[in-house]
Amino acid sequence: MKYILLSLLFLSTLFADIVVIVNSESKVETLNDDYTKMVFMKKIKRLPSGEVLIPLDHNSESEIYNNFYMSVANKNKSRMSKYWAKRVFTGKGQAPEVLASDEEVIRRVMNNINSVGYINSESLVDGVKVIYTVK
Amino acid sequence: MKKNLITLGSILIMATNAYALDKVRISGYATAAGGYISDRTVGASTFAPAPGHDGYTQEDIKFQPDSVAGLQVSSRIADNMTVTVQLVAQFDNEQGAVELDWAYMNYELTDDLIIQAGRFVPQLFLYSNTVNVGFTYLWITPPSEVYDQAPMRYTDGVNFLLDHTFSNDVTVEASLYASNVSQDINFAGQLFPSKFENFVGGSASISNEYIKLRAAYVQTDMSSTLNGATPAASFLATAGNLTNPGLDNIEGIKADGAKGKFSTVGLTIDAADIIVVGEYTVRNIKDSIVTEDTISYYGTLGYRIGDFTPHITYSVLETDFKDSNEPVFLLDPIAGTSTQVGTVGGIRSSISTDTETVIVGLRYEINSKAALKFEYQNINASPQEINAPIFFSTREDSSANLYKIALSVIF
Repeated sequence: MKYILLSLLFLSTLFADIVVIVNSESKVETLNDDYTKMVFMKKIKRLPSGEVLIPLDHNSESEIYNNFYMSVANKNKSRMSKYWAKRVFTGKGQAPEVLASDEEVIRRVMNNINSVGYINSESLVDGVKVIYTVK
Repeated sequence: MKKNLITLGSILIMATNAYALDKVRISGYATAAGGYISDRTVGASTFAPAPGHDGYTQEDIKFQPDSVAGLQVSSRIADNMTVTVQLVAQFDNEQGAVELDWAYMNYELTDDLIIQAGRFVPQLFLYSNTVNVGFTYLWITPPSEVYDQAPMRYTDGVNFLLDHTFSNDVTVEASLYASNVSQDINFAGQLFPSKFENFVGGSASISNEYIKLRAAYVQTDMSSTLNGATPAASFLATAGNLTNPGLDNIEGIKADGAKGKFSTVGLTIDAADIIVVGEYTVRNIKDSIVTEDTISYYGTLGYRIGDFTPHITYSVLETDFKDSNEPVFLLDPIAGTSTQVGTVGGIRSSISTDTETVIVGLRYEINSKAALKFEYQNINASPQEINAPIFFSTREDSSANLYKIALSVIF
């Protein structure tokens, strides 16, 4: 029994949800699949409602980076790197700012009404709002 | 150039300014490549080149032809304004040289519309804009049958860029530019300083997550000069039909009045780990002494298996030289005059060579910033008999096998 519980615990951390968060004061309540992808790939600068969302990122070699973009953009880390290289070296834009941890993403989102980031759901704290959950 | 250096200087000064530090982005890329040719058969004429392996030889492994590195500094100087400079280091005849390929100011008129002013790379083909960034495509370099058709590396002028994504993640992109540039063109073993004036073009594409369709057009007025008595005499002599006593005094030859038009369509598909890339280009150049009409195209098929992507490409170049009555002038520095020596059609010792290349390659993703690539190319070249049947009558087909390896990184 103990082993079953332990393995369930292990599985639950292995498949921890990734959530997209904004400042709790933000007017954005929810994002759909397409808008989540378009915001983090910086294809749009503002939502149809007029709200500006500035994405934050994790290191491209991190597990959460690869899992997040595989889910929302159907692209692994290498394909995302190619996507950004094409944009950066043709003057079309820069990849999102990279922060070192979930805690740093949360801190930035708490301090900036326009920031949007993704974190593991276990890292969630009060003061931020979940607008999208990765399936 | 001086102006561009000042721009670079001011960016570097800004980079040392603590206030502006978070607004400056430095990025770069590099490709280290090596290769060698084997089983090269060359036709009877010494002029039978097999395009696509410029710089590689049968005797030694060469590292210079496809190696390149670039460094980009980009700074946001206002809410809707950025300045970007990109320096590219390449080997030219095995000598290292640094050139400024991009130096521009972006002014964002709206979220979707950017005006780019300065030096930029004309976006003629699918990968023109990142042709030096090997990390962004499958091959070690894009198929030369198509990509060598536009000899200019960059151009100076103004570029309007539209980029809009709809709510269903469909993106439309368009560009429209007007510019001019001077650049050397290597033809028949001689370097022709050439001018491209009224270099005007545009492109449009539509894409979603899986597919991209693209079309582009550009036109330009072109003039070419060959400086120096020896190269000019040597070039004229290859025509085999010119004996001009004035050759003693000349400092070169000049042909202007050529008009070039490029049209191209391209397609990429990336779905279910299958990758398809194709481009088709038509080049019409009227009255040029250094180049001819061409049709070129390639198709690439790749399949992604985890970090490995094996791929195969079939690439073709067909040339067609048209007769021309446009005058060619001898430049005579002593008399201070230029006199007509003949016509483009009469003088040109055209080296029109059709080629057909099969590329088999493998790309391996080392990590998210580095890729290792292997390539085998089988190149077949067949010279076209044009305009000077006696001279070309001894030419035969040539072929070569080319093996390459490359490491491409971005940072």
